[in-house]
Amino acid sequence: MAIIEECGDICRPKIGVYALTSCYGCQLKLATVQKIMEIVQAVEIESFYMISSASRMGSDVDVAFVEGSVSTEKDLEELKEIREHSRILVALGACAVNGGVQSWAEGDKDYKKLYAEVYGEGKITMQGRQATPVSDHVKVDYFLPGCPPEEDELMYFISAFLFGTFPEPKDYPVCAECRLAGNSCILIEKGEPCLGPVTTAGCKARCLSHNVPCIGCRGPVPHGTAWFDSLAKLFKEKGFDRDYIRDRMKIFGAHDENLEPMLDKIFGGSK
Amino acid sequence: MAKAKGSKKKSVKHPISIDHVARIEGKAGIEVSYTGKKVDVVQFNIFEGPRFFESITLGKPINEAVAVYPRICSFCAAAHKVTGVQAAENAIALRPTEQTKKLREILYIGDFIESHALHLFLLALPDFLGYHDAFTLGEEHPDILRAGMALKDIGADIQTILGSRYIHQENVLIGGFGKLPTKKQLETIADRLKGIRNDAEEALENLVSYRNWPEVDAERIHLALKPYDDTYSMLGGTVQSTEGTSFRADAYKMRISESVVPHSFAKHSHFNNEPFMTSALSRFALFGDGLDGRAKELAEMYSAHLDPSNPMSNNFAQAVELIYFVNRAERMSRELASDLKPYERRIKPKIEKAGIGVSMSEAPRGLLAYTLKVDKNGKITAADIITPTAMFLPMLEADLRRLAEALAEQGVKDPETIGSKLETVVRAYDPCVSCSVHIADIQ
Repeated sequence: MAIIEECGDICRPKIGVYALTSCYGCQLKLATVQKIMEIVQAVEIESFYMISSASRMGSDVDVAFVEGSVSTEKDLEELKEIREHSRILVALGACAVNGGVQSWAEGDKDYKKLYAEVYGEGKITMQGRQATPVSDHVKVDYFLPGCPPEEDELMYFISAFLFGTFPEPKDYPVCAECRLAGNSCILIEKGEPCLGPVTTAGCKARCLSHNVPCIGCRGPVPHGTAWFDSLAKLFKEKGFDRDYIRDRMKIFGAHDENLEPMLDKIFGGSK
Repeated sequence: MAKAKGSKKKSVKHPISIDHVARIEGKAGIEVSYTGKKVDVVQFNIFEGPRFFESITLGKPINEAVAVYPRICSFCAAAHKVTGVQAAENAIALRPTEQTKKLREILYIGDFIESHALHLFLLALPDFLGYHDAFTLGEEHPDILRAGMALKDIGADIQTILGSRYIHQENVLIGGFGKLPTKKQLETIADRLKGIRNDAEEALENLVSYRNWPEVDAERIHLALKPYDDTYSMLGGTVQSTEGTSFRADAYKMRISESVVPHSFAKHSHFNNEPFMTSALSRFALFGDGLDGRAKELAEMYSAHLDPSNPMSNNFAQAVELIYFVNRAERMSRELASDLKPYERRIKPKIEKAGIGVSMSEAPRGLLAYTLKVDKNGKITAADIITPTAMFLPMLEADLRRLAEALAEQGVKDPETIGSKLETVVRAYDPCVSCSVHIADIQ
């Protein structure tokens, strides 16, 4: 959607920033990018509750950024409403894209059990749900992963929409960037449980540059382009068991349908 | 939700319902219902969905769990990180080095500076100066917004340099850091903090023209953590109350009780069955004597604004803390730069037996408590987290009721006026709604 061509300098694209259930970090990141004052000049912000009282639901926007997982019935209603009123919907950050860390027990504990473990017999009138990614419920046009997303990617997305082009998703793992950053491999050299081989790039291997193994916050690499042959298979060789690697991969990849097939590839055979 | 001022006066519509309080962290609403002039119910409804942190981390490895807990909240990720890591270290009997403790405290101060700057400039000040957000405020007062952003930046940069990024710092680990900052980086932090001293006073300067609303005046109990070094810090091991009593942070489960209420995914906390306040104001009320330098001077000058009976004083208390912590971080960074051990290694956790660890600290918006229990394989067997917002919710509701009743008494009928006043009081608490909804009982 070529906003600039359509509008010339007469109108400004309408942007909405919405939250479902999350830590508000993606919105915080968006609100504090260095060029935020320039962005607010270039767009019209229809809704951004976290920072503006002039926000409302239900107004039409060109681009909706949605942070958070669907974790209540109210989240679901709001998400559908946002979808109805937006031309382009961007899932912003790990919770919206992958269901977020709140999905860590996905497949092990259902909503009833989670509720009982936290609230016991206590009754709450609002209805919660098992956390799910936004794309389980509505059509998502773009995914902007990360916990939180990177500033340069946010800027790239926003400028792509402004200039009428489309942001290109990354489909290669963190390892590629880690090599470019000149790090030695923390998995090969130190035997640390680094999820770089199976995690979407874009962070420029920040954690690896701090000698911290990748925890997978940018979610699973799309299109089966994880680095299995060269690296992911090392998990087994380095002595990690299947359950531990599953636990680690599930922090940000619990809803990935390729999770068990990937574990099969790494550890051989299905459980 | 608050609409522009000067809108047409309507007859009072009952009940008042704000479905989404803007300019706070998280999704919450306010509901007030009346019978005639009498206020029946005042509720701060928390719609933010549950995320079950204590349940989803059961059976999970402790290293991974302490990386997940900070995802509770972005505004105070470092607070959750440091407190969770300390609880984990207590559980596995790991003693971090002095250098690690100092670095964590500087990181934590970075979080305070960032969080207070965001709250004061982006969320609270627009109310007082009459704007619906900081962007419109910034168009007319670019200098105010610039000062706020400069403070936010230095707070964020401290966390980025020490923690790897300013939201969800992965460089902070059980036993230490993946990578240490360099001497040069610490000196640069100190120099930048020195250069920002004037900006640190901007929030207070803009707030002093405003008075606390007498409608929310009421005696109250405050709780705060006694600073470990008897100055003014977010770290310590004893909780003190304005009633004169104190208890060990380890024993918080015995003193702070929680209950489930129907209108909120956040539980409500009580101290000796009474609502209480925890906040920058509480820290100031109990330990303000530990402040020094310019912060102490200004706090004395504006003591009338720092009234412990009025929650709106919390804005002023945060503004004073901003001045203090900019100064403290400068001093600590300078000291650490001069005796940095650049090759000190992280102590790798070795877990050989089961244990339980407790840690409490002062997050920017008040007390934060963690209890973690691990088995001999390093897996979490129980977790309990109480966040500041969960602690002060009953007091916040009591203040909203006081305000609603006083306005009804005064004959204020315009729902928008009532609504925006209620929102301003909510904001004074600087609630972190995402935080509040993640509380569980130890099993």
